[in-house]
Formats: sequence, C-alpha cells, structure tokens
Amino acid sequence: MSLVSPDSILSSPVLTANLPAAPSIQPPAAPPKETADTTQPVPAARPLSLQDEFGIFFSTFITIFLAEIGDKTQVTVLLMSAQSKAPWVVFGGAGAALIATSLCGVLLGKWLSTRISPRLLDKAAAVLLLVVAGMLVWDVVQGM
Amino acid sequence: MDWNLLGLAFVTVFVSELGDKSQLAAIALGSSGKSVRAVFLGTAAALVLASFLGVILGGGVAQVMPTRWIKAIAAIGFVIMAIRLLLPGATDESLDGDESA
Repeated sequence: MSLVSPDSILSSPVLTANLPAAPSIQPPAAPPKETADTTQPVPAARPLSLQDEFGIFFSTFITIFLAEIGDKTQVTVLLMSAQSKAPWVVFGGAGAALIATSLCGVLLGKWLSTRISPRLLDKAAAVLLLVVAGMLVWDVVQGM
Repeated sequence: MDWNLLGLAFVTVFVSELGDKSQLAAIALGSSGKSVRAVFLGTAAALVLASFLGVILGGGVAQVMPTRWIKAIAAIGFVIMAIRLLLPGATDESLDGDESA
C-alpha cells in the first residue's frame, strides 16, 4: 500500500505550527503577544487537550464519512476497481488522492484563518457547512 | 504494480474531489477548528474508509446501506456544526465587544 503516511505529512512545519506543544520555541514567560502581529487572529488561548482533539477528529470523521457514502467519488472508485483486475491499486491511488485533497482543503482553511478575522471566519465557515448540507439534501431529493 | 492504473485512479479521484462537498467541509472545519491536525486526520480517514468500503463492497453499497438516509443524517450533522459555529460561547465571542451592532 503506497499511501502517504500521515506522520510524514504532519511533521511539516505548516501543520504543526499552531500546535500547543512546542515549549522550546517560545521564549520563557512570554507575555501574551497581542501587540506582536494583528494579522494572526488565531486565538490559542488554552492548549487543546487530547480529548478536545479527539472530539474534533471524531465529529469530522463521522460527518465526512456519512457524507461520502454513496457519493460520486465512492462510486468512481467502485467502478474503477470493478473494471480493473487490481482493485487494491485503484484503492491506493484513490486513497492518496483523497488524502491530498483533504490536505489541500485543510491547509486552505488554515491559510484563510490567517487572513480573515475570527468572527467573520466562523460565520463564513458556518455558511460553507450549510452549503455542504444543502448539497447533501439536494442529493437526497434527487435520489442520487 | 500497475503504475498507470495507480496514476489514473489518483488523477480521476483528485479531480472529481476538488471543490466537492468533503473538500468544502475540510476548508470550513480547517479554518474554524482549533486543531488543523485533528480535522485533517478525521477528513482523510473518513474519505479513505469510504473508498475502502467502495472497493470491498463493490456494487453492493446501495443494497447494504441506505445511502439516502445516511446522507440526510450527514446533512443534519453539518447543520449542527454550522449552528455550533454561529452560537456564542462556542468560540470566544468576547474579543472586543460587538461592533457589528
């Protein structure tokens, strides 16, 4: 299986930049740097516990998984693996592509969060999620 | 290893997935969520598992799973997450008062 290992991606500085655990980088007893740069509205008031992260992971996983069941990507993978004699090769390619697109999406969101104020961002993200819900409802109404 | 097939599967899925629901959701959750890592892992794991089921079950997905109901449940889930984002308290609303009046 030639899937991209999550660890290798996650060790990139882009993703780990905002993680709470990096005590060696921060100066000792640094004051809250509100005056440092206003272009970075990332709150990071309190570090996320493992439970918080697991909650985010789980809610993301469940919703995306349910949304993707019977979606066109799954159907594409299904058809390609049925036509070819090597379904696992198809799965490998499709899995790598899905990891790549989700990484692109998350990084784009992360980049946006450094550009837009948090309050506007929350509203925009909520609207985007409602759009996704609307697309799902449209799929349901159309009967796929 | 059939590299042509591998590349074909990659490109097909990558293109069809660009701008699709799950990527939009990843953008939204990645921008608002506190943990980019958790959102990425959740999204990637869900997508890979869904395509894994596609390979395993083959044409029987629709028979095994009531996809319409599952999609409806997913839609409700996204609406709940959107409401959670809009509700005060979920994020620190008390940045500097309410200037938007």
